[in-house]
Amino acid sequence: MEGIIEKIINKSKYDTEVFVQKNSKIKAFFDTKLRKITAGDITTLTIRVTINNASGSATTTNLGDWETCLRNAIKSARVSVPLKTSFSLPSTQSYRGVRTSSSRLDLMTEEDMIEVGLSILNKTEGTIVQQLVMNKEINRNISANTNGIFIDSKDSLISSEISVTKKGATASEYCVSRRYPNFDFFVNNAVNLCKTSINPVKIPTKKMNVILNYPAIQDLLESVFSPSIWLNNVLEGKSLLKDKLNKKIFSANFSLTDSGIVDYGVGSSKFDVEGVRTQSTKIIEKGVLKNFISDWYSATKFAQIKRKEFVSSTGNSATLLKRPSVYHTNLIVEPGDYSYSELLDGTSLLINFLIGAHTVNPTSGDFSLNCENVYLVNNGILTPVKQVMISGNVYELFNKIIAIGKKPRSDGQVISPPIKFKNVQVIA
Amino acid sequence: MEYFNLLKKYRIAYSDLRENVSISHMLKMENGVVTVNSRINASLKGLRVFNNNGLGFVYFNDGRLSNAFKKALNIARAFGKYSNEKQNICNYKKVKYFEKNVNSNIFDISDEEKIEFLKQVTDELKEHPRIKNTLAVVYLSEESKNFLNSEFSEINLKQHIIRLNIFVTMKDRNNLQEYYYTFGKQGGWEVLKKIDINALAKKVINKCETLLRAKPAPAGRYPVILDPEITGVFFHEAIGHACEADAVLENQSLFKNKLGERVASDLITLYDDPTLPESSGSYLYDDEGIKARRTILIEKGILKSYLHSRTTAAKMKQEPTGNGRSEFANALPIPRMSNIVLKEGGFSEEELFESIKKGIFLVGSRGGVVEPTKGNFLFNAKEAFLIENGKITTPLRGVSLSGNSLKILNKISGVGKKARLSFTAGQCGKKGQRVPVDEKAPFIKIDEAIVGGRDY
Repeated sequence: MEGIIEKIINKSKYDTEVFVQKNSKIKAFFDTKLRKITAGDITTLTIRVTINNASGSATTTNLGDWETCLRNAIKSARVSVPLKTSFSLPSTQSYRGVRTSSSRLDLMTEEDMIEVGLSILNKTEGTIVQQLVMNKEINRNISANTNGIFIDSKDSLISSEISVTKKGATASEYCVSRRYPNFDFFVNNAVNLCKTSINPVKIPTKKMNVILNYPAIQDLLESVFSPSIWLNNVLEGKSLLKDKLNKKIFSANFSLTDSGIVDYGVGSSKFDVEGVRTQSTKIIEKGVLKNFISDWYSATKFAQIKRKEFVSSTGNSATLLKRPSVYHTNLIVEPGDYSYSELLDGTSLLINFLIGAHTVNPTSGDFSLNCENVYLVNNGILTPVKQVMISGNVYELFNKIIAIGKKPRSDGQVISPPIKFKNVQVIA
Repeated sequence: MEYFNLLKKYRIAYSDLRENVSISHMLKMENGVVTVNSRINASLKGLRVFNNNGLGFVYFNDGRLSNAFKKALNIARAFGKYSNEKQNICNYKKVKYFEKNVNSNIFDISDEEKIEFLKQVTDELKEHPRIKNTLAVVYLSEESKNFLNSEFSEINLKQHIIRLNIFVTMKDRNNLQEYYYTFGKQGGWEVLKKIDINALAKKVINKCETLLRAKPAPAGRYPVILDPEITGVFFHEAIGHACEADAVLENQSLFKNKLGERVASDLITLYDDPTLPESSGSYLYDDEGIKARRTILIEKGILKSYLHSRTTAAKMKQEPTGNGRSEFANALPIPRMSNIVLKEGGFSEEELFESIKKGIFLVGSRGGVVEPTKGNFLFNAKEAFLIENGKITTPLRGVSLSGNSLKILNKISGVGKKARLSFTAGQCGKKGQRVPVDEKAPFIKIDEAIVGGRDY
């Protein structure tokens, strides 16, 4: 891999960036039994060439054909319309150490994956497993450019998704980690959610206090809120948070950070695809919007608009195939003071899963979403509730925070405690 | 050929080797600037073996086929060791099919011409005073598939796909709204050349302006009319997926043990049809070498068939239906819809609307999700309008439709006369695999559904 990258960098006469990823994956599928197991390797080479501010990209899965890939990228760059903001490529920099791989995951074989899956199936205690998917992957990543960057990293990831059913009730759980996770916790959660969702009751349509538990808060932040803090969306007028820097946008008890340097964070890495070091960026502090997240180009453009000499990329570039392109690393909600039992004081609705957050229009923030594994809470006593929806606007919702839990949990690229909101529209 | 030689060497019960090659070009123009000009050349091989009562599958883009055989056989052996259930695949005849040249133009268009086309689109849009952002995307691809199996079938398929997406964002004070248009089908550049850009731009602007002045939707239970696009997505998500045999086998279908039973009103006849001309959801052979054919799923309300891959057909002792599809060579084929088609009924659009005193009209789909066991679903509409005394009145925004699939099927009281193929080049995701699909449906009337919105 390194040899080919050196050849590309040496051969190209233009500003050139290269990202290579070798992905090795084992995936096992179960229901009540083992159903499938697949394994394989894919190496992907992506090249982006910039000529007079115009960019072109090409990707291939055939590294031996890197010359065609480079030619395609140059061909694309030559005819692209130049970006209005002039920019150079990021240069050599020092990187912070961040742990992203685990030797235990590296060593797991197909048989190990089957055994882990079967042991999970043995712990589902009286529920019927509809589906269990185990996935393990090891990535080797190299980022390089003609401005001196040449950096590599390795990461590992294991994920597991289970859905169980009993007496008409269903529940799902998902866990993803860069280290070997606590699968007992994961399977117990799914089983408990399922068993406590049996015999749900109807509730009327009304406005009430709502607690969004871990997976629900993750879905809302990741699918609906995150695009509004991408600097490219802000500069392109696609975010309602434009012109809101240093203004209060959310309840004063809400603080949010994007951090790519959390050890073993699912979105952690020491550099982004442009080779820029990742960092911790304070997004919202006590309800006040402090920063956006950016790639190299958006940061340069922002600096020129603000007439500043330089604004650093926050290390959030997502792909070389698009310029600009931004995505969050790990969104971390600052924990509050409330224990789980304190959150359950009074009357409210506890929602574990939101269904369909990806279908919401993130531009307006308006949402109406189905909820699963929902409980009516009455001073700590939980009663399962039949199908309900919640609706509103995400920007208004986060201005109605009553309480934030003490204990965060990592769900994909979001680390957050449960959050309680006031007066949310619930549709039965 | 190396594959057939290795088959002889290993004496495998069943095996297939798939090779996918995808050559694509995507151009994105955002506010008059090209933000993406990328070419992707992806090729991958996937080898599946059934041996020692187990199933082994490996994929690779470099390395030798003989190593892949060894690895796949090792996985099959491990599978057999941990599973007491023999893995089977149903038999099929030997097929030889070699695609002739595809008669559409994908590669012989200069980048300059494509960029000029995008510029025309965005120039038409940008003059509007409330527009904050414009994005136009063209995507052209050639998808080639080679299939070999131990029944000595050899199939070579090639398909050209073209897509156009347009996104506009408008702002009025604190109200920011986005509308997007999606179009896609089999074919090449000649398809886009036929588009009236001026008329299309006007349509997109008009739709986004309507969203800008739309009111938050009322929440509650209402009679609703669905346009053909959201009707098609509803039948795809809420009904079609429940007909896929893997869902039935995994206890994730409402239709388990319901073959031959009434599941809908007799107004409903639904089928899956991969043979519809020009649709991106169509194909000649599935990814297991089975010839594509139309499959009736529901006939006048009675459940008639499930959709099968070769493995689900073997398990359920039914005929394969030609629905074993995979996203690419790195995934095993599973039962998937192609184009879901709701047969036309006898109602004109006027007749459907005139019976509604107060209801909601939903237009276009932003996508949806379904909880498979209970059948609870949610779809978000691109646009919606209040229906008052049979007339379309106030535009609404942020509207979703939810309910229970089986209950809704029995509350459909009218099916329109004219079915329309969406040509959205939709991508359906299931078990981590996306495949191209489309929907063809008429307008429908549902007597009562839950509409999600915000009270006003």
